[in-house]
Amino acid sequence: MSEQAFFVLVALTAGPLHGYGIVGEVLALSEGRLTLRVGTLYGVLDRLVEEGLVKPDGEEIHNGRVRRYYRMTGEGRQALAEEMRRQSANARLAAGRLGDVAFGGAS
Amino acid sequence: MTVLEQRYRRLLTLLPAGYRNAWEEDMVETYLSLADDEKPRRRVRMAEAWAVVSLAARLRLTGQSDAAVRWRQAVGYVVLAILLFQFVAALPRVRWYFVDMVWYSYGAPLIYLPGVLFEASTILLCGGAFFALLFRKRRLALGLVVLLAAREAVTMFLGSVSPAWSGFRIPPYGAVYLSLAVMLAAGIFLIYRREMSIAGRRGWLIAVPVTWGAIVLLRDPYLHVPFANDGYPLLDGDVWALGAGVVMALTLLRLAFGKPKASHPLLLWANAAPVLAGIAIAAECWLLVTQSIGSDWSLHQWPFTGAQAVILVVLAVALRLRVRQIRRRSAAVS
Repeated sequence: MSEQAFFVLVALTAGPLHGYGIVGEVLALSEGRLTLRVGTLYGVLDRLVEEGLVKPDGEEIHNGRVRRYYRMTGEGRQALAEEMRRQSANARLAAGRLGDVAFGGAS
Repeated sequence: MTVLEQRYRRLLTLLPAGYRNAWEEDMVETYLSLADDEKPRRRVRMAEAWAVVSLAARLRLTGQSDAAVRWRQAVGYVVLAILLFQFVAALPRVRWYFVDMVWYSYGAPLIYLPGVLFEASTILLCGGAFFALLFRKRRLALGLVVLLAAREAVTMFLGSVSPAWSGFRIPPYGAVYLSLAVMLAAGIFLIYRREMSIAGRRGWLIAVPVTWGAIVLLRDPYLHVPFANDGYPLLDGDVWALGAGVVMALTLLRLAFGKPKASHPLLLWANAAPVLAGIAIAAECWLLVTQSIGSDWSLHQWPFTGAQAVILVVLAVALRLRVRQIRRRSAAVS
């Protein structure tokens, strides 16, 4: 799973969001490190929808334009949990090698 | 509709039609909502434009839709056409050295040897990659193209540090070769990754002697073909542009008459030929900008290259419109 897809899924854990909301949420979650371009966001969303990890969840009218909301599916939650476990295991491994207690590894 | 919205919508036309139908409205909404947070502007940001261009390229080349598969096959055709031309164009010079000089004249002038070795390696690398791709040995093809790129880098470096090594180089084609090598590697990698098979193997095999015959004919000194008789100009961007233009014109003529189906094999060339033309014009512009800026040749060449680009764009647009019409008609029938 790419970093962008990971952050999009994390952003959707709190509830359904529209594209603009996802961009803002990802920026906040990554503490300004990851700025999602709209082209990149919709490339990621397209893949996540195709894989059944995210699905559209209603629309609203905003400034005369249609805003579509997206929410994470059960499979999306599973995939995120799996990715989280994988990344945690990797981080623990690296921390263990570095001997860095801050990462929760052996010192 | 504001100017900014119009520009975003125009940018999104780069995306495949199916994708645009599904996502365009939502993307425009997100773009405009983000723009509301900033100072008023009328232009699309470069980074945003680049993200859409990358997305369009990825969707066209790596997706599983019919359009993506067609584009991948077109890339395969472009790669094969370049490999074929490079290795066949190198054959006459090697033949000249070993047959005319060494065999008939009983001598091997050392002064020509570096250039001949260079051409012999072109035959081995490009020819090897061409046949490897045709016979589905994609790893081998990729390896040979990587070697081609490495040869370019090494000989360009050697030529720049010592005139003694410049015999290996044929200025100013080194830069073009390098770009072609990198492009070929990308194409082969793409095809390799997607496990795509090349259609029409027999046609490509027949194209080898046909291209060789055409090159021998063009280079015949008695014919006085202006751009084909001097040194290595067959590797020139002008010739590439001419070739791509001829392919486009013939494809257009063939598709203009009758009622061809959307599965017509020539439709692949409708995608491949404009890509070839684009590479030719880009290579030519690169040469003009990097290697001959301000020279008389460059001043004369710019309008010529510009005219070529205009003709090729007109042909590409006409071809695209005709292909769209054919596909629409086929879809309506089915």
